[in-house]
Amino acid sequence: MTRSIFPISESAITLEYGNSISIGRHRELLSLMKAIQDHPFAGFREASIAFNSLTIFFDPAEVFHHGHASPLQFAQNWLQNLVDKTPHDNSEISFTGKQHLLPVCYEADYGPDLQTLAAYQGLSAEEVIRLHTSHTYYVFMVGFSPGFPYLGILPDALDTPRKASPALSVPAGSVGIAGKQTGIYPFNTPGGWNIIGRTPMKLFNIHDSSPCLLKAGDTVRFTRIDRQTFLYLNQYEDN
Amino acid sequence: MRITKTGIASIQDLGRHGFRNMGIVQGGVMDPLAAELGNMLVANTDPLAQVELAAGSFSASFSNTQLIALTGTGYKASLNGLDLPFWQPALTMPGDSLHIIPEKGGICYLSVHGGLRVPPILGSRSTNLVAGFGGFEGRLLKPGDDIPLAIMPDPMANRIIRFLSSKEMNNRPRLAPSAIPDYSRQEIRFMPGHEYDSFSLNSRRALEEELFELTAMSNRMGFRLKGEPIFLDTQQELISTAVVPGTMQVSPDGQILVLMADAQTAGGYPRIGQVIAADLPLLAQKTAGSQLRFSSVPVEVAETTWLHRENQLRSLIKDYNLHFS
Repeated sequence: MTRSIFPISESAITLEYGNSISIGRHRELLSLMKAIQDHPFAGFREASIAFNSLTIFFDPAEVFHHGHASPLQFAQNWLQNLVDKTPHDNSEISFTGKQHLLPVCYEADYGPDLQTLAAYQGLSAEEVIRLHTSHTYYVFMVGFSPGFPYLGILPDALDTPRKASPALSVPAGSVGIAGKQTGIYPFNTPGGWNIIGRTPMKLFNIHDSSPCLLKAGDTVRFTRIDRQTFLYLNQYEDN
Repeated sequence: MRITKTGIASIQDLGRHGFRNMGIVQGGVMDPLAAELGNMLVANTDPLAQVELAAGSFSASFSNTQLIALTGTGYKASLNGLDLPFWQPALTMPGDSLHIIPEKGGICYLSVHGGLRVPPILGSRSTNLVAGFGGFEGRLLKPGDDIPLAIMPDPMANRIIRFLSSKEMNNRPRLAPSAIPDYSRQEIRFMPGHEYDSFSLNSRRALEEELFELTAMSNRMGFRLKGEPIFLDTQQELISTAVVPGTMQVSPDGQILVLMADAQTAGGYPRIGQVIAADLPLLAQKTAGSQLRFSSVPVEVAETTWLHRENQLRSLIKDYNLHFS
């Protein structure tokens, strides 16, 4: 297992943990992140998680004023020390993520790339929908845009490359597939994922006390709904 | 303050921290140096929200006496038809109108004593344009917007106002020329990125020997450059990981995208370098067509350069505050 710590700027260091995607190792990173957040060093700003890495952000001036001539060196040593002390045993980590069931409408106008993706995989659209709704997915991270969840790991039969040219505007709620990942666009943004359906649920609401529906470590299952149910549940006023 | 005309302008402060796991970018001002000096000049002892003008002209009228300052580069300004110099505090009277006009363009900050009183969201007044929150109604400014300002100046601002109101014209407080950032430098320093060694020797050489042009496809999220294509020695599939403002991503066509203030939280393109924090304001002020030259420095130099500049800025702010306290 390769484990390396390196600076990405004057105020951030990354811990890269392995060079593949694994739910077990991601849970280790999550518990390490919690340990960091519970007992940070002076000048610590935040920690963020990705598929196989964790990044710590800090204010170099504040770290410097706490007597560390090189804030980067200090942060790297601090993190290395914490990693060395942390047991690397998945079974020690209790599961704390929430489980979500998300409704998705797979009608053609909500999933414009469903037919193309099915053809690419040599499957029928119905088989793609059945496969997509029969797995439990793990939230590796939220990024790209506020509330956008990166979910994995998709069954091999759905592993499909991104579209050659990204769509200029993907409607909010769109459910997409890229490689072994599936994700949901919380806002109308450009995007290159293959769109197979749309959820009526809002993934990000700045007015909520907890703006993101999904968090790293949560699990998600999709359930199929028809157009009437979609319209009834739709939380996007402007769609 | 009522906006009567505006180009691309938004409300920004020093950004939002602590929400990257929600995919919420840090955001904030593109040129923190000009922004912090602006806040200093108008006696904002904490970094408060400002107008960031990134393109086009900007006009606004004031209904009260306000202590204001313009900082940044590439624009000229007038208050009621009289030239309004940058890098010094100025006083508006009720009914005054301010006009900012681009010359070669760049980024200009309008700072007002007491800051722009829009509601803070998740600890910041910066505008998040993707999710549409923060700043003024979560969007770019437009004509007709009425931005709430503070009414009562604090004692330090009052002393500056008294100073400005005196007839003694040659005694105006202004920034010493040496304290004004030099934006003319062409050289942008970077430290090697995590995938630096994966790029071909020729690519690494080209990065420091060739000139790169800033294209018009540049905004608060990133600056797209045009130049000698740069390639990895061997193609590799990267797993998305945290990226930050200043990260120099190389896209599959071999061109460099430097991520800026509204950089997304994670990215999966190889990183050839990281623009050093001390040079990010310099890069932020470059305009489409500018020619850039990159030169690499070790990470230790990046760090000490930043700490040194930060120290200079803090002592300048301290001196200014002492002078008027």
